[in-house]
Amino acid sequence: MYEIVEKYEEVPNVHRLVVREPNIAAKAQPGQFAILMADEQSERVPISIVDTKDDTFTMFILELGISSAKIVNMKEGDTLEAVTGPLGMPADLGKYGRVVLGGGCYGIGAIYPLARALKELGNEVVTIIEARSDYLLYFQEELKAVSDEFFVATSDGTEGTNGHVQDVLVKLIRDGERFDHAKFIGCTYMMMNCSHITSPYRIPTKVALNTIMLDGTGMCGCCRVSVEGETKFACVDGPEFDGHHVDWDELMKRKSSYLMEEMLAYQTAPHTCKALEKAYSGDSK
Amino acid sequence: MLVINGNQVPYEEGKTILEIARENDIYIPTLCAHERLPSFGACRMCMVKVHGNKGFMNACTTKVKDGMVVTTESLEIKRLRRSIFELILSEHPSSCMMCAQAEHCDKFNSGIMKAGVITGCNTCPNKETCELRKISDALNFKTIRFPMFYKHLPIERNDPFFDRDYNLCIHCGRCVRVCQDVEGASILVFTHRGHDTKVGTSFEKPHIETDCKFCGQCVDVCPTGALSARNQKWYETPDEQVSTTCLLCDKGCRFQIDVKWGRMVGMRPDPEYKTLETGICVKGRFCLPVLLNNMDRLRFPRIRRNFKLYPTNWDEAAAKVAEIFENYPPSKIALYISPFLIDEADYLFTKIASDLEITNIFRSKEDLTNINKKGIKVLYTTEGLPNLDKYKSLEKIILQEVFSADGHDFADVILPAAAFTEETGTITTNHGIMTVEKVVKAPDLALEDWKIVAKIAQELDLSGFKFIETSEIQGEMKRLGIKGKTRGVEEHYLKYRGTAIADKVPDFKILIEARKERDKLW
Amino acid sequence: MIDFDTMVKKAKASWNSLHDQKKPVIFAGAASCGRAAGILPVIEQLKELSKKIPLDIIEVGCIGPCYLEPIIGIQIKGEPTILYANVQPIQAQELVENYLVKNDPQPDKAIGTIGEGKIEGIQSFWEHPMIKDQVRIVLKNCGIIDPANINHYLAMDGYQGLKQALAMKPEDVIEKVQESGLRGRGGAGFPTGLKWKFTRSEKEPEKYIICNADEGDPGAFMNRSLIEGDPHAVLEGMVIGAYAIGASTGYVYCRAEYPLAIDRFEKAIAAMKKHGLLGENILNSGFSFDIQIKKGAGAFVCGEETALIASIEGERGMPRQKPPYPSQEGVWGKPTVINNVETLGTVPVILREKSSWYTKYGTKQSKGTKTFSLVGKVKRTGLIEVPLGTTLRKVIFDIGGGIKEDKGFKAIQVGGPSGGTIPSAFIDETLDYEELTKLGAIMGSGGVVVIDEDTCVVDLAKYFLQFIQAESCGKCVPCRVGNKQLLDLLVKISKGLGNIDDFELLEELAFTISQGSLCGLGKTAPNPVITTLTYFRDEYKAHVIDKICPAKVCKDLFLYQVDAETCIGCEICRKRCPVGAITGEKKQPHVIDFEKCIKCDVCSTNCPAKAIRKIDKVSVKIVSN
Repeated sequence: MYEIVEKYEEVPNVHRLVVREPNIAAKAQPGQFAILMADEQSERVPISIVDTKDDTFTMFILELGISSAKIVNMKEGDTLEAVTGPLGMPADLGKYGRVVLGGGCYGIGAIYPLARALKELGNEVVTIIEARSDYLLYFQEELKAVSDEFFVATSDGTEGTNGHVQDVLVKLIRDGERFDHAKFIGCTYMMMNCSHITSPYRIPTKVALNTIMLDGTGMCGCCRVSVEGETKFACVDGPEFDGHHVDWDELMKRKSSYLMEEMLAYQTAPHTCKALEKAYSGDSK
Repeated sequence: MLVINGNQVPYEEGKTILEIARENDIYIPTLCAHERLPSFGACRMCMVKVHGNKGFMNACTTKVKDGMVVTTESLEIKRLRRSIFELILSEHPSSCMMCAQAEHCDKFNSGIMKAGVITGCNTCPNKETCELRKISDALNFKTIRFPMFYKHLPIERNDPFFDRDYNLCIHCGRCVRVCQDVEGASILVFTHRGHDTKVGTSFEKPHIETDCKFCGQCVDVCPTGALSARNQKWYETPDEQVSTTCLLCDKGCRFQIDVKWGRMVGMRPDPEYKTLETGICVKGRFCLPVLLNNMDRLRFPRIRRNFKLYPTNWDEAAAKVAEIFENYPPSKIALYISPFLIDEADYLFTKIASDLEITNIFRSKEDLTNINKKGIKVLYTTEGLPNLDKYKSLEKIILQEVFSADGHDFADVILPAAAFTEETGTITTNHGIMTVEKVVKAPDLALEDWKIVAKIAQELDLSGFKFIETSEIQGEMKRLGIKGKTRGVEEHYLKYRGTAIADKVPDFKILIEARKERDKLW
Repeated sequence: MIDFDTMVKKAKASWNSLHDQKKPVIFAGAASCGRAAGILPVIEQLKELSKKIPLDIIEVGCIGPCYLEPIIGIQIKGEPTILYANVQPIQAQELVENYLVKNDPQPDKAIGTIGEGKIEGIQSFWEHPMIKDQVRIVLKNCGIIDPANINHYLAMDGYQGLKQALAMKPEDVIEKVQESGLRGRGGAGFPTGLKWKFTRSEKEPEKYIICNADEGDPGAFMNRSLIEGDPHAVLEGMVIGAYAIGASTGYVYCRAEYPLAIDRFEKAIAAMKKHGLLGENILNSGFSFDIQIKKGAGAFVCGEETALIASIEGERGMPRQKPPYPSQEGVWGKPTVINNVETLGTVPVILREKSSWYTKYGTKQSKGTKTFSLVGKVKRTGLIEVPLGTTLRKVIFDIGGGIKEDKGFKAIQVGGPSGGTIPSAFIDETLDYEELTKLGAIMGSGGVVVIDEDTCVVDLAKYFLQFIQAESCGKCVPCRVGNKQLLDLLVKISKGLGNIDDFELLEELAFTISQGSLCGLGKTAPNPVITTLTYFRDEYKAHVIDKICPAKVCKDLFLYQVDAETCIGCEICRKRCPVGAITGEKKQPHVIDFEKCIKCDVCSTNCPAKAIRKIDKVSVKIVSN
């Protein structure tokens, strides 16, 4: 049984989830992920591991569909049906010099272990995060603590630069900043845009792809991506890949292949009703 | 006589400036106005100038007077509208409207954006029909000077059928008015005051604990994504929209159904059909797509061999039914005709019965007692067969159904029928004869009821069953002077043919369970 | 039924006997204001005393000067009533004993006399500096008669106006009110007679009259005092109005926070019914009329007529767009007149007297008198009534006695949160509808808040906006969202975070709210901001550009500092400081730690040497750098 030690909504849609699993806590390395199942019948959801502490590990989970909804609707003290991990290859870490990191959505949290590790390795870390609006920013203090420079971009300009990670990145590069390495985690569109920007400057760029996954061990092939014309599995070869060589169009198409099923899953998904719970427990009278 | 923007327009007494402007194709942006609702004057987007009056007047509540001179567009009006719209957007998660990347983002991310909590247009289920976005485009709105304010209200997801995220609410009051003035229910009201004003139920109770009828009218009139039907979102632009009549009871409500991926994805009262004063009931509005999209539908004809039901094709299944009919005398055969059949199917059943000289035609559960009385040996049922063990005389059961209703496991022949959204025809309702349109294709081999009957008739070499379309059957009925009858199914009947709706629609089950002690469920 | 003249005769006899009786009478000012100031324990004490010394105690309404409350008046047969101010229970007993037993009127403690005759050493109350410039028409009976006793009102020519009116044709009643030039005292100043005329001319036979007693402006209490002091005047006005427009039902919409006022109304209505002044066939005229009291739940917006109507109908108090006006479609969709308490309170006098008598007061367009609640940093606060057209100088310096502690006069805020702030430069302008509108303020219901140099206008505007945005009904966008944004901007400025672009934004917002809002509440909501921004732009600039609050009110812009030279080292501040931010030895100058200080002002108010200074935050930074 995998106990949820801590769970709360950090900002709308993004939930911090701390799960007790000593083995994962002991072995997880930056860039790896775990696969969670809320109950026996739910999908397997891959989530980046952000931090570990004693026998627990922390994740930031973005509520997107019925399966993540099931997880985020669980309460502290509830137990997850299954937790598998750490999965995937650890991120490439080394002493590069000056490193730029970009994160959005769940990536704001997911970029954190990379920033910390790179900083510990003696790199100069520049972190850029993005959100739609100021009320969707989280984890800023923690990220600032492990970054040498820290930038924020919001789509509506309510905090930091009006725009996205790529807008800050372009500005920094145009201002003469040099980067020796770049890593981006977040929505596919953001990672693609950022990769397009670093490409002409030949900044080695790694992106952590969030493909559809099933087993997470390379058996099913759901998470297939084309990198430099070669088929790779995000679960065992990744999730980190060279952003300059990912076939982004194919990736986007593959990600939306189960749209109808995802939507229809809402129709028959059992969902809790407080009024009913009350009626059953006899509280209503 | 009236003058709007320098042009003469006809004057009609009792109408508002907005109504007259719309009739004359003059665009005035509005958010709180709705054709079905009394005017409210809350959004202040429709401000116009009326000559001789100081200040601005709102077009939606101001009645025209003969000789009035109205200006709907000027720099001053535009400035005021933009400024008001800016205020609306400062409290609506509108960052996607300001985002420079929005267009590209839409293109690349299309189809994969869903989210539990809506924080921008690209995950909003209402994106395609959002009235804020339309006005934003009309005003060419790109920046906002005020601080954004997210209300951090809890999202109401504990009621069956709909999600309510009042963080997206713009307080247009349409839901409140439709609930009060159209449905007469007054479940939704404005609560709190000042800047904290919000829409909700009294004492913030869950809707299921109130007298909410779950008619979904509030969802239908919401100009934003604040209110959404949980089972009917994120499908973006539908491929097709089809109007049809609901057959779940005698009321004869008309629907407009959104079709995407060959399935019914959205459901709302037919806006063109004005016979319905109020909305449609919870069964039609929320249950139908879930019910009929259900994976449990009967998809293949089956026949029993060696005590097991095996899938087969229609020819074999029809031959099997014909064989059964030939092996028993008509007096020992009974037909159980469901009230949920379209008129044409009903007619063909009676026609085949008279051709085969079958006189035992059951139309209700009570009629089933005749099975034992008359020693019926073969039952052809279109509505399942509850309490099977009571009927000892039965030797063969033919089940023509949409779902595996009662009696399915003991049937000798299973004939998968199309649901009423999968066939074309007519039904007789309290409003008279109404048409049923084919919205989607029936799953796999499931076939329209009348086609199944026709197939069996042909197998039995009966003449007069060679129909290609229901219109031919209608023609025949007309010639013979046969008229359909209302079925005597009232609104609160909880089944579709032989299956309880709640068994297939989890949210409906919740509703029934939670309200089982009430006289009326909705 | 008793004949009216007999009724009046009886009432007059009863009133006279009160003044001619042997037993001394004590008049206690027991309106809400007097009660708040502590009149009830005084009454208790005197009741106790009455067991020893025979005396009658009569509770009357408020006579005006709030700063003198609690007030009692003592009357001995044949002598005028002597008023004593600021009485406490023990002191009251001494006063009564000294006067009644030892026959010592104690002129040093008295503030004036009422009634015929003179007492050595005490001036007439009507010569009191706060009273002598007033013209009391509406407030004539307040503080003089027992509001719960209809005989007192009848003795003061009460219901004579009604009697006159009932003898006239309704059209003539309206004509007379029109001639008097009476304008709505609720704020907008619409001619009352005209309003009645419009309503009367509606074809719908069923009509209503509503008395708007939902007074809600912060710092305004004119209506409450009038109801508590003289409820019959208001109700008489209502019956006259009902007769004039042809209404058979009236509503008094009074906020539930005025329990005493509601009680006074209830008692008055019961007494009127008993005396045939309300109900079927009033005074045998054939006219029937009934009044119901509706208690408001205390929403400020319900003072707006359409919201008030919604509230009476049992709906949420949300205004709707006008037109149609209430005179066309009011309560229950029928033509309705809504009049303010004071308007109705004035009507009986107009009917009783010649219209030319009333028009001799006031200006050309603003006739008659108007009550104001004079509050704020003025020496003599209270309820006053002056002819329209009286100058601000007269009101503030003659009646009000000038600014407290003789500080500098900065401005006045007229008309409550919807009104405007008028700077000291306009001191010689007059108080009337036209003049106030010209200055950007409104008459409102008549709250006059005097502001001294220690008040920050940004803070003031913030205060009023805070009130408005919390009291908005939430229906229309400009009011609900706009006022919140406007408030947020002011908060930002008061914190020293404003920038130069905010001026434009403030003005744009004020334009949007005033032009775009649905009802009067929203339309006038930005008035405090607009007027302060117009008249005190420099003060705003100081906040935005220099990051200084000149009045030292905005807490984020100043620091407390001990002036080392003045400090006597008494240790009081160190001991009182709740956060331990002050250090220092005895007889040595103390020091305040800026970091710890929470700016509670305890040190400053308690310093005997006045050594605690407020210094601009920006100036300190420069020093420390």
